[in-house]
Amino acid sequence: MMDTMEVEGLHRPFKVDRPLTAQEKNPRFYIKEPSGAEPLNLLGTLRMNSTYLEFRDKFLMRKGEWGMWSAIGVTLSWVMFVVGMVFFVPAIPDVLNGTEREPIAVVFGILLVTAFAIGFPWFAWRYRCGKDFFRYTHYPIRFNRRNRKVYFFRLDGTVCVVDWEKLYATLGKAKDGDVWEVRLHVLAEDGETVLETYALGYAGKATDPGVLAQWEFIRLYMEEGPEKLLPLLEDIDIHDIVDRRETFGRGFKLLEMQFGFVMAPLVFLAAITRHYAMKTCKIPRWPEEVERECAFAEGDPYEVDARRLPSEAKAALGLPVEEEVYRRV
Amino acid sequence: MLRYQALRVLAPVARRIYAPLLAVWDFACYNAALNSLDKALSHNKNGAAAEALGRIVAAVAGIVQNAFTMAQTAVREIGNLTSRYSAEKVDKVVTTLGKYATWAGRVSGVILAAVNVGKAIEKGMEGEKGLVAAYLVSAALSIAMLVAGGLVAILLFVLSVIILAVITWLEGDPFINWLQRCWFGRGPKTKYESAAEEIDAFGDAFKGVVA
Repeated sequence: MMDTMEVEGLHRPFKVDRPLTAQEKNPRFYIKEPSGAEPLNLLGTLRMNSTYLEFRDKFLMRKGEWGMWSAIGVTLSWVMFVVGMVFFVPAIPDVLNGTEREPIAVVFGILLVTAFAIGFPWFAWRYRCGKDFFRYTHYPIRFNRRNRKVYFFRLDGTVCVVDWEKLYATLGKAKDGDVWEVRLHVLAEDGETVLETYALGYAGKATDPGVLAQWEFIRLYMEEGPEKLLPLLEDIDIHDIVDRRETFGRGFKLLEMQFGFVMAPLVFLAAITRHYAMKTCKIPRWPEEVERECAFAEGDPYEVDARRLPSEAKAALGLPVEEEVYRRV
Repeated sequence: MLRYQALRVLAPVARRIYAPLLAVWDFACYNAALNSLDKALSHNKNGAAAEALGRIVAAVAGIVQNAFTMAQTAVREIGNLTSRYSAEKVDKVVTTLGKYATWAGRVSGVILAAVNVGKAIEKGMEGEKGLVAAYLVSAALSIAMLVAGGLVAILLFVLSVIILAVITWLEGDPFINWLQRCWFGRGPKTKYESAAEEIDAFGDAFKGVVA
């Protein structure tokens, strides 16, 4: 079975222009009320400073996986095409003369391998790996605590801006599976109609504390500030993808962290397709206006990104630093 | 409303029994492949042995997938019965098992597709175009399952079981098949290329009848 949560919102758009469902109304997470979960970054942060926290989208972690399955499938479908042509095409004259013993098999076989050799790559591109290639490397979300706005980088490269106070946070469930994630809805003026939906990057069972951990992490930043978050950040948490493409090593590491050593050969293949997917994708750039609104002071003590890792920021502030500092990959 | 009620009752049942059923199916495929490997090795047929080996690997991957799914269900059920304290650990195990099951299933699909394409080539060499088409359909279904999900994946699986039945029907009786292809055969099928191949095939057909 497909891990459906991974594709919700990317392969299959979220349902919008609809009223909130009963399940979405309860539970609702309010920005002023702690959810009760332990705030955790869970590989979410791209960069942080006193003005904004930039977070990754949920599609980043498994980018490239569908490329691998699609590539394997396309290769096999073309091998099928060659095999079919080798055995069926020489029989066409016999079919036309009426001397072929199995004419239906010949005609059906040619149609099958041709349709499949064209149809499978089309389907795989249109609905699966095409969502990873020639798009954006990731779709960041920026939480600005100074002007209390949230900026979502849409799949088409435009930006959705919404007031933090008006954001509707709730749990969303996968279409066919007991998998949940925190969804952030942008509502219409009526406070009931969902205009746009975005999801945080951790999915699990409803009882999994990780599901709410990222929401609590973001809420803490917006409501209490970066000083609460810095001790929670580790060097490994920071993705170095803000202004450059992810390295092969980092991509492999992220996939390996999710699938484990048991799947190492497949993870390696997926890392290759991930690497090439990243190469074909554009790095998301925020519009000038957003950058202006998110400007932060030079020498911000809470500035953390791939250039200034959390350990460095913590050391500068005299906070305790973990002994083992993670090397950049 | 009735449809909704029926789904509400049937869905949890289906979720619990599909993995054991598929595991039994994969085990049957594993046994059949093991017999084929035994036969191929006793007649020194490297191609057939490789194909049987592929089927064994695919069946094992299928069994592993279903074992993971069953373990996932079991852990979830146990987790539901135990205290909330263990919920985090249970979720972690369930998620990991789910990921392994998904990937093992897809690996099984890749191997099956490759084996079916190989079988199609073998049948093509024998001039069996109907069987070539049937094996290619089977391969196409395995490939399609790589990118399918939910109900479509189940539908594809059902279709692949049906196509397997069609293949068995098309392949027919091994003795009749041998009689049609032997030196004296009067059937429309391609003759065996050598006496050695004919004798080997006779042995295979005879073994099939005895088994």
